[in-house]
Amino acid sequence: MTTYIRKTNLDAVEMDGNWVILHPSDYTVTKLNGIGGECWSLLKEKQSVSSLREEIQRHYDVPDDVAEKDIEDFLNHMLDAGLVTT
Amino acid sequence: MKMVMIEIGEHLLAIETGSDKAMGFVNENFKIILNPEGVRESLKVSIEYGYGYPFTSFDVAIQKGNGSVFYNRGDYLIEVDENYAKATIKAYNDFALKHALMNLYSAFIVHNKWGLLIHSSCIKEHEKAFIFTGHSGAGKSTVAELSSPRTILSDEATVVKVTSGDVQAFDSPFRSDTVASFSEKPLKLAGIQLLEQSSTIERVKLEKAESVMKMLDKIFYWAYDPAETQKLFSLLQQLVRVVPVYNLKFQKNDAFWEEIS
Repeated sequence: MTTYIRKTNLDAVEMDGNWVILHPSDYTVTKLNGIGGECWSLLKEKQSVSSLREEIQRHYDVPDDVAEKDIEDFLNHMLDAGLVTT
Repeated sequence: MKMVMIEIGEHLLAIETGSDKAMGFVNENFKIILNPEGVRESLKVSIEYGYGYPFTSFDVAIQKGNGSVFYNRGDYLIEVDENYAKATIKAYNDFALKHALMNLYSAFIVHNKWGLLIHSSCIKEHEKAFIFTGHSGAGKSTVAELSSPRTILSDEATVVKVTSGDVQAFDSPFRSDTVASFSEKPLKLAGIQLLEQSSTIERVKLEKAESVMKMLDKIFYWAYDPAETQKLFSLLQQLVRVVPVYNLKFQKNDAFWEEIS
């Protein structure tokens, strides 16, 4: 099972419930809100797609397949942006 | 070789050059400290003319090596030590020198975690400062013109000091169409407006995270070192925590001031 975690060389700050993440080497900034922000908070520790889904489903009424698809899309985006690693 | 002491923001820069043309440019565009005896500069800058070729692009190539940072734009070359205490600027002409000084000063104030150089105009109203920024052509210069007779603190690059509790705008020497009086005291920055020309007038406050995203490309900054970029990010966070950022739709008249002040 693939696990994901935040990269360590980043600068992230929470402002008014949104996360802003700086990639200092690439000079890019990413903003996360809502479920994306919650996933980012959880990714402080290793997470799998299913562990993230379980946590998200504690707060949101989302079917398993929809939640997992959204989380996979989010993780792929974060991998592409160099913000998380497997 | 001639020497002169200039002041930008809260910093004194000792300028040294053998070029009468370069010295003329500095004397004309910067606040000169007339009796510099006993004061100590924050940065020494040696200037040479006759470098490179006419301006072709705003792209700056940056390299680090032998304890120095090199910024090269074709019409200027800056070499500055990694502590930002001593620099050499080689420039093609006055335009290149102006931009090289902006590049150097911006990197210097980020390095020292003092503040930011923001691509914007800045206007004084009721003893407070208001920044107007936006993409190229959004109306930064137009706003400065429309705001007459209010005092213009900058029409191109605003010098902003950032601390955790307060942000101040300084009388900027980095201008395009106006001339600094150099008599204005720094003022509390009361707001930043992101400009959008429109047939209506409307001002909407942005969330802080959105403000960071929108402001990042309004800062004069050339990224080369992740540690320096983290300083910039920290300054930007402090800025938006203290100063509200708005989207401002405005017409080509000064009625927008009723929305602001």
